[in-house]
Amino acid sequence: MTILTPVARLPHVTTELDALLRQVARRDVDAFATFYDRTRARVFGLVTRVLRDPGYSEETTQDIYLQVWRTADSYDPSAGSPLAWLMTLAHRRAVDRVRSEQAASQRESRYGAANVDPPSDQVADSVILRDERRQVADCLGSLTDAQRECIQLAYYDGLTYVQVSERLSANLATIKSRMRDAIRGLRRCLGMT
Amino acid sequence: MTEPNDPDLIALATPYALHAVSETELADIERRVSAAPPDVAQAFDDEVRAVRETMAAVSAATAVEPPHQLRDRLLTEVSSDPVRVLRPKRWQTIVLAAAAALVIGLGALGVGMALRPTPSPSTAEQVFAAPDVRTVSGAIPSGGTATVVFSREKNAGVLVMNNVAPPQPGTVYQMWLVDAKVRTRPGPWTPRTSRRRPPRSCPISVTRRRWRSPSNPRVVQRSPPAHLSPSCRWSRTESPQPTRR
Repeated sequence: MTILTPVARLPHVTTELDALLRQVARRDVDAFATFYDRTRARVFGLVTRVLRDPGYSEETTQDIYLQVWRTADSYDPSAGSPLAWLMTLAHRRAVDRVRSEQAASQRESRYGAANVDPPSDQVADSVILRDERRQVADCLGSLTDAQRECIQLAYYDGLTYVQVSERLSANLATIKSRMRDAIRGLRRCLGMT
Repeated sequence: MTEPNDPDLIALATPYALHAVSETELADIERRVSAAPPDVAQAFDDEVRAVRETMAAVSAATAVEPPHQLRDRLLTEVSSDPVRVLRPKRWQTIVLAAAAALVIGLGALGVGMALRPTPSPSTAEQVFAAPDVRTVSGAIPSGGTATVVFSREKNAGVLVMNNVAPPQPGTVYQMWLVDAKVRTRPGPWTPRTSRRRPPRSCPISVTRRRWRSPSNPRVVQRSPPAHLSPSCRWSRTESPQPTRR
């Protein structure tokens, strides 16, 4: 018997989001609203995790979705899933914002608190997302501490890999391979390979 | 996965895909990938894609509901957005329908082409379709908002002004890009040989000037540059032509 893991259901999400994006590209406001509803918790959650400021996060999330509205027709299905397109765009903007605010020193003091997962009642009321969240959390837990730390610093704290290597007093090659191993570990665990 | 020739470059694919490289290194990596043999470039792209798909799945772990009012604000905004999708046929109509639209070359420190009847549609389309397209908006003191959509990759941007009153008779809008190192100097734009990358996101100062001649415009109103961060205070301007349709 095959049990579909939550992440393995993502192709169905892809089909839906793909169709919605095509409608958004044709200036369909209703499709845009649905696309927003399907993805808003992921986007706002990631942006908040990176920016750690509710006001900035809301503002940046708004910018991200306006960019979706304006550039939906540039989404190329052959280059990746719509969710990857969206989350890449969202992460890029969040990291840009962090670096332009140059708020690293202030954010530093909040580092510990921000590592705590948000309470589950804040999460979208979606069984699928909840299951998926659990699976992803398990997979993040399956990484080594060193690998997880690299992902935390580079992806969620917006440091460059050079800054990560300075922070951890490790050489660049080590950091790069830890990052790569972390991604490979996640892919394997999530059944994405 | 088999490792093609350039292991150093391939090893950068993960930090690159995680946006964990500096601006300088980003440009360098992109240059190396575009110059790499096809198998190396393909391996790099595959790795980038795999990282992005993985992190898209991982986004479930950090999901948090946004405030409800954000949805209303967004829907209001997109319902009245004149830019929306720029299709070739509609492009000029939409942009000309806005109070002013400029296509600017950022790498050469800002070329303003104000309200030319036939700006090159391909530049704007390229900007809107660019993978690194970004948007910066700001209020204009006399009312309305200016939005700059730009792409570093395409080295160009598009300015669209919403709900801005048409210039009064005898006046035109000018757009200034402001930098600390370049003194503000209105007048016809002259190309520079140096190619400097603009700051990551630079506020745009929009000014309204009384039209006299291209070389002698008089300032009527100017948005204060005080809010600009020091790195963004660069300026180069072209006196625009008066609107003629």
